[in-house]
Amino acid sequence: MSSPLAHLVLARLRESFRQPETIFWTFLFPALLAVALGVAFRGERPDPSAVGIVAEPGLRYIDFLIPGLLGMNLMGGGLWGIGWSIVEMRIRKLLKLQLAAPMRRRDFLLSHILTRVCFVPLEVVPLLILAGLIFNVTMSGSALDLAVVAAAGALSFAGLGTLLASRARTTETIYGLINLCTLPMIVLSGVFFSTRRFPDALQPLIKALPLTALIDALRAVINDGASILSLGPQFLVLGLWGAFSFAGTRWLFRWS
Amino acid sequence: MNPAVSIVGLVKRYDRVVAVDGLDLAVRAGECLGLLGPNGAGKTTTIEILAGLLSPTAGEVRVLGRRWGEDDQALRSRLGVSLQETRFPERLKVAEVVSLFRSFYPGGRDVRSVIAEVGLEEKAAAWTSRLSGGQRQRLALACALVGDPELLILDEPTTGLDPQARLHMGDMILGYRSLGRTVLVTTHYMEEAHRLCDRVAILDRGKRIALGTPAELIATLGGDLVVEVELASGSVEDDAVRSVEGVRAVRRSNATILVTASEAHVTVPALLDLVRGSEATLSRLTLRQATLEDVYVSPTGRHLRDE
Repeated sequence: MSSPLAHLVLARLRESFRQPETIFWTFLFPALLAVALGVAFRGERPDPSAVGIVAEPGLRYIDFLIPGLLGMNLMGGGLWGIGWSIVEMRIRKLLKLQLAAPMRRRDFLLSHILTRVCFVPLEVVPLLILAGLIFNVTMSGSALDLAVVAAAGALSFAGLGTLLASRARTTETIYGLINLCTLPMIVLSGVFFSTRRFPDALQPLIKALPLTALIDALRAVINDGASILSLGPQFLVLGLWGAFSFAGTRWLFRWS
Repeated sequence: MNPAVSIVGLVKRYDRVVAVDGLDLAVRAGECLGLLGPNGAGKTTTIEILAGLLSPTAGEVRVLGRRWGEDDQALRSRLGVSLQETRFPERLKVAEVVSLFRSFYPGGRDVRSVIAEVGLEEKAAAWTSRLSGGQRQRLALACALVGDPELLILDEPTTGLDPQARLHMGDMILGYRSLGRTVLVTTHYMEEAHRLCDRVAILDRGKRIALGTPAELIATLGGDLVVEVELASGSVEDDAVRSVEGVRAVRRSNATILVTASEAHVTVPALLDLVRGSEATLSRLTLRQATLEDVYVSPTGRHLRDE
């Protein structure tokens, strides 16, 4: 293997998997959260205003929660996994030495994005298996559709991650920027409770958030068995966020 | 032969600070040129401009005949650069880091042989976080060498190393130069500059204040001997010392009077007479060869600084 891009991806994967924190945040934390919330809200419906039979598989809180957690993990992976690590490399002067070598700038950014794509199955599959085993959460849609939705979400948030890392020169800055993006979306985008609890006036804004689009698409595939062909609006939102972010990164990114 | 590096009228200004102030310098192909100077002299800024990491405010820089901004990728593949206080991804192994850097270069050397050359074979499978400071500097050198560069640019490769590690690093740099390649190196250690460098440029406040072979620079002192005098009691005036026969220059370092001279048999007895005549008591008198260190702290530099 001699391609610099392959070497960069391999180096990033090695670094990630040699950190116990990665394993914790990628696998254990989402699993613990799912189990804790699944147990606490067992038998409840996600949205009290909806009429339905409580505790029927597919309509329980845990069925609602799992796609929400998946979406939240994919967002966190993109923003922390890319945004934080690029800024850390910039601060620790790791980037500088590579920039003095004939490393292509494009390869560096692409390696972060490809590394993210490698992580997607690891963030999605174990949690779904766990949810199936413990809570009998079933996957209604096709695995391929789920893969496409997850990949689109991961790419969109990879773009946002690089954009946030464009200028930040301190960990405090990137920490603040990432939280500024993630915390409102965790509240607004329907991770833990339905977006319908917010007033109608806010709905267009909520629908325009990338996390809402991702979670809506995940719920449609996992809970309702929808085909990706019916998820045009969600793909449009994710695509626009991704395109806007990558364009912004090209414009703003500072190497030093 | 064209110079490997040519710098004409280089200026780098940050908001209020002028880091490099009209620097002219040429590094000849095949030589090892040392950049010396105190902290803040502009050495690192100059190095980073040469490595294409910073753009100059004014002036012209050519590296291996090229300007930055023409075909940077091609130029970078002909350079080997190691920067000050380099850090590496902590959880990558030494061999993985060198392989990564090797992959950036279109041509280059065998990773294992470079690791062996810098003496890190035993650490090849160790995480970089487990390396000592000296081993980390050697890894930085390996990353700079693995692309088989024509020009090696090293910013303080030996700072913070113990004397043995410094000698070893020096040997590696000399080995590279003996292949007919060019080296530009910054250092704080004068004896190291003397040993490694064909020529030395001394920078201060962004300007070049001296340039020449170590022997030429020492010759500018007017004498190649230094008499160090320490008094147990009493004192002698600098002017009195200056008027002693054969004395070229006088300076003080803490309690020691350093006298530059060319003929020991004339100056030493005359100095002893002066001490006796001043009713001072001598505690120590040492005679040694002048070094680059003496050039570095000589009035040449001081005068320029005070202007």
